[in-house]
Amino acid sequence: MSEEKDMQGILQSIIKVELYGKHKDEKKAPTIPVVTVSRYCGANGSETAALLAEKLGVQLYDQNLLDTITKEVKTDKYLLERLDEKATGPIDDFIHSVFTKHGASKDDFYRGMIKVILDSSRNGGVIVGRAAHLLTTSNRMFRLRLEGSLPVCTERVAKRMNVKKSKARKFILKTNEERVKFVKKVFDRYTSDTAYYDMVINTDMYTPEQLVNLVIMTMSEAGFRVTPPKIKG
Amino acid sequence: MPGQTTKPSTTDDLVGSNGGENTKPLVTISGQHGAGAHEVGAALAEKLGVGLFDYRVLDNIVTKVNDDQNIKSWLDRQKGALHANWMKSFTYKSGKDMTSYLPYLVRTIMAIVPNGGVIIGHGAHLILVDANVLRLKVESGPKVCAQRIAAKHGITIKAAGKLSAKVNKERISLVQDVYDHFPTEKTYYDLSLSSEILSVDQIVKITIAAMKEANLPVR
Repeated sequence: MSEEKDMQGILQSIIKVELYGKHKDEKKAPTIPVVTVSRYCGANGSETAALLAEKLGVQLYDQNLLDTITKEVKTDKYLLERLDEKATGPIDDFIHSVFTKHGASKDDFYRGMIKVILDSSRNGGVIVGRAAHLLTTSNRMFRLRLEGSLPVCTERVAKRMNVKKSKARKFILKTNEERVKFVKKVFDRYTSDTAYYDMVINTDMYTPEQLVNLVIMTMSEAGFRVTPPKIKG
Repeated sequence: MPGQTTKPSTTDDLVGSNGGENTKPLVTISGQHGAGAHEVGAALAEKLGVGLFDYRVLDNIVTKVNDDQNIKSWLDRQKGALHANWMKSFTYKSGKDMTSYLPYLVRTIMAIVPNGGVIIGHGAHLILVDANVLRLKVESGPKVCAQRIAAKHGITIKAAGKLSAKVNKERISLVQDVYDHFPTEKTYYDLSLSSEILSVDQIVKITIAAMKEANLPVR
């Protein structure tokens, strides 16, 4: 785990230098919308994240794009030179199998995430999953988590996958367990710990459109550069 | 401030309520000691025009309920879906003392429902999981909580950290007892907001917006 912490430390340093080197006072600097979206399986996370990116006018970094970047980042010499100064030990088979489905290693995963965070810091972005909220503690990043009750999420997943509820329920529990294990193993944190998020919402009560409005409103209140939505009332 | 609101925050107000579902604003607030749940609760109760039931007020009420046979009888007579659910939860669990604090805490919280209110802590977010309620969590990291407690009580950060840990341990113990009776597959909270990046007024504003969007009563 110490090697992983070394790697995380380097990530933090690089990210901070790249992101904040030009700003003496981080809090007063312009805040480009960068949102990390952690989600419970079946909580409409992907749909909401896509809508949020669209409303904010920023890039959506979803699973497919992250996988592509993870593969492509091997050619980024700037990052490689700095990251390769520290060895990270053997590839963890578990992480490899669960989160890097296209033959990329744990190092590739970290490198990919750095690139995503650096890119998004310049141009804004909505980053889905990958525990991106734990890669930097900067207040320039809005850390969102979307949750849902198991019965409600089961209904959604069953409908989306066109499977029986019992199968959907198993799928949800398995997916969430894998996500929890990943975050616990790599970051020694729990996904359900609300202290690591700026906002956590129960999606049972809201449509993706309503969720996006509430998120943008909260971001606006927190000083992010967004156009406040119209909330009823 | 605790107990200073004009809305129901005494046993008399509870007995005056008619039981059943709420059509008035109902919010539960949870948070680590020092996260600002009480400050948010007070501001929210004022804004929504309902009573604030914080730790001191609620404990006082429960104590009075325990000492007053008339109120006890009244609470025992209350019916309705919510009441039936929690009553069932006590009957299928064995080994719990029905005369202890917890059952009357639950009854008291149920009696708050019809008139609405802002209830802080006490595992109310688990007890009221099926009510027309918004379950809010006010979140801050341990360092920030300790700093606030230290500033408030004029003690060192280290002492504040110890105090916070002690209070949190007691609260977790109570909530665990409640959870044992109210296990749920639903989420524990509907909304969690960081008081590290949001002020009390901002949290209140966002919470009310979230209640409106969810078609929960706000007036």
